[in-house]
Amino acid sequence: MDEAAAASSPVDRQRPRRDSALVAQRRTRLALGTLLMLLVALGGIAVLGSGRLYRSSQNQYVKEAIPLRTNARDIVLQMVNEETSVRGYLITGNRDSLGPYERAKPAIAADFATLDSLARRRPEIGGNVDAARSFVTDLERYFAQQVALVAQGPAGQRRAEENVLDGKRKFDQFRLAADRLLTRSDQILLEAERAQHDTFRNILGLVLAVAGVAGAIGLALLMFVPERMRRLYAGEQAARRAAERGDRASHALEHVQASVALLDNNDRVLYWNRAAERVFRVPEAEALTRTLRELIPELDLIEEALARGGPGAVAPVVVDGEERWLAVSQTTLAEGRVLVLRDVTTEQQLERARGEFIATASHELRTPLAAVYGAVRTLRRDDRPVDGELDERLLAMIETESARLKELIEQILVSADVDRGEVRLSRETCDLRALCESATDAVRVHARKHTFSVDAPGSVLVECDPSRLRQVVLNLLDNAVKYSPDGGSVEVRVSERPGGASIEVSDEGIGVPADAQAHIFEKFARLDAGMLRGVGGSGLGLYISRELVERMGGRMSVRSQPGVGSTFVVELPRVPSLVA
Amino acid sequence: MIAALERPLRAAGGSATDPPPRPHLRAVGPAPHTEQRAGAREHAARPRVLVVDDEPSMRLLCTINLRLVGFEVTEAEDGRRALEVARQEPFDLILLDVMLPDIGGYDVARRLAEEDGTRHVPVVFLSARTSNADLRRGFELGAVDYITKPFDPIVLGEQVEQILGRVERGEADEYRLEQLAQLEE
Repeated sequence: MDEAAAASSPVDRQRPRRDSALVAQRRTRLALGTLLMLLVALGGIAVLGSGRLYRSSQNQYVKEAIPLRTNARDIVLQMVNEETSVRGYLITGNRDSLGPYERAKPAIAADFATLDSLARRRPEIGGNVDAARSFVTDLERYFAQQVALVAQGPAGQRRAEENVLDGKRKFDQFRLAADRLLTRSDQILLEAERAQHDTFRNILGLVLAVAGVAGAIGLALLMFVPERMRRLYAGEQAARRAAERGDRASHALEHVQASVALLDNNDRVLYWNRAAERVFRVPEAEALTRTLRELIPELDLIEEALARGGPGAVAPVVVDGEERWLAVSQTTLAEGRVLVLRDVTTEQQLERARGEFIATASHELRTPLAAVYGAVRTLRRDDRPVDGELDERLLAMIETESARLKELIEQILVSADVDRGEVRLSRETCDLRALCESATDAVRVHARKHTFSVDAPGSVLVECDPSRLRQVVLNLLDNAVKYSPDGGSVEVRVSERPGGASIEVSDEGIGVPADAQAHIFEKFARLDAGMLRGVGGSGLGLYISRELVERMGGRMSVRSQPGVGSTFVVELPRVPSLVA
Repeated sequence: MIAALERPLRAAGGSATDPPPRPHLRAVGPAPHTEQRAGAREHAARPRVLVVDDEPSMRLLCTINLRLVGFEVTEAEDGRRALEVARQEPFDLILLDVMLPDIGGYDVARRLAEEDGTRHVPVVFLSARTSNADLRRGFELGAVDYITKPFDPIVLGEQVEQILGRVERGEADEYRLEQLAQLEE
């Protein structure tokens, strides 16, 4: 279950992380968008503000306040010129001194025209302009009257002089009106200045506010974005690592000897490794479209094995007509299960052979033991008649069968040594003819149905381990006797060969079928694996013999025709090149 | 003394693969005294036993010990010879080895059961094959008992007596099925 949690958690952890990453991304994008909009707004406000400032200065200052003041002052100046000019004429009577008076009149008219146009834009000054104009008109009328009186001569001049005081009063009145207009224009100027200031302040305020918000957003982004980025990057990194790990895991699984299948809860195949492709002969692309039951018809056997669990979790599966044994195990996940199927056909066969060997060994040991025990028990029998010959036979039986037991135990031990590569071989010169003759003599005693012959050109000397080689020859002779139950001749031929010598043991027995000849030297191999017929045998004799001969640098082979007989050949080098 | 010997021997006989002892094998009535029984057999028709084994020592041991307790014993060293003898002569019981060089013991038993002349002869397997599967097979082939090697030749006669007793009382088949049921477990 722990495994299950571990396997499912990356997926579970990744989902919220991806969601939060998405949210963060959305927020950042929103902030950046707002910032951009604020900056655009800031630019817009700056442009609009400066435009408005320019316009307000244009309108109020340049177009209104300044012309108002200028014209008002000009009118006062021109009126002073007129008054001075008229007074000069009155004193001198010289017509020339009226020049400035004549020139001022159109200038004043022009000034009033300007003021009128300004008054249309700013009606509040209309009153002041009209007041100033009425006084100007009054003064102009007075000046014209004085000029006309002076022109009439000295009488007119006197009357004109009498009017001067009245004129002075009129002029003062004008001055007052003109001053009021000027004050008014100053007020307008001040107003314009204030308006400009207000506009500037408003714009500045707005700009500051927008800049403040933009700055805050920028700061927030500066504070959070790198963290977000780091987290996003870390998440991305983790995802990549997970993906890489997944890649590596599946790469590893591709090269695992066992078949691995990932199944969902409906037993549909989500993953199918190369070993599974090989064992079940179904490519992954095809497996991914099927359920496990469609791929493995014997699924029930596998499920049973899984339910058994442990070392017994082995199920037979037939693939292409061939029975394969699979060791099965599974890990359950939240979203399905992982099934691991290991091909243990070879192990299973070996295990079966080992089981058969134990049965065989038990049988082989029990047989001589039964004889020994039986003989001893019979000797102990008190109702037995006195019979010296019988006693002798029973003792001989004990002797022979004990030797046979010892031989068997020896064989089992030697085979274990051979398996571990722990056989020590001596190396001495020995005569194969003598060795074969002595071995044949030993076997001859027990095989009364058979005739034995040893054929050798003389002494044949090779370097070998004589006791081990004798073991080999004895084994071949025993086999020759065992597998020719009807008797017949057993021939041993020793001959020289280039670089060595050979021993051939031939019988007239049941022979070895051609298809079995390749296997008879294998461990636990028996012609009759079920042991229903035939003489016993541990299935170790030929295995040990071949191993020993090969360790002496030689070779072992068989020629046989079923029903006719067999010939086993041992070839030995004169001097072994390899000694184990 | 004889009865006391049997238990450890049985246990030893089944040690490797089938440890469960089979106490009921000797539970059929008290064994009569060997000498008395032997004496009784002298005058009555002596039961005839055919011993089939390829090992001369095994045949010798069976023959000596069975004759000592009053049986008439014939030997056969392989399957073919066993069938031949069984067809020619009437036997009260056949002690049959499983591993024979020519025709296996199981096959011999099957053929004996198939033939009218030999069908009635009770067969007892005497084998060094001691696994449950071997015993089951033996009983399935109709054997009235299965004695595993090594066995005590002193009590062999007594065992054969008991088996013959069962056969006479018509309990042999019941015993056989009982054994099979037990082996199935």
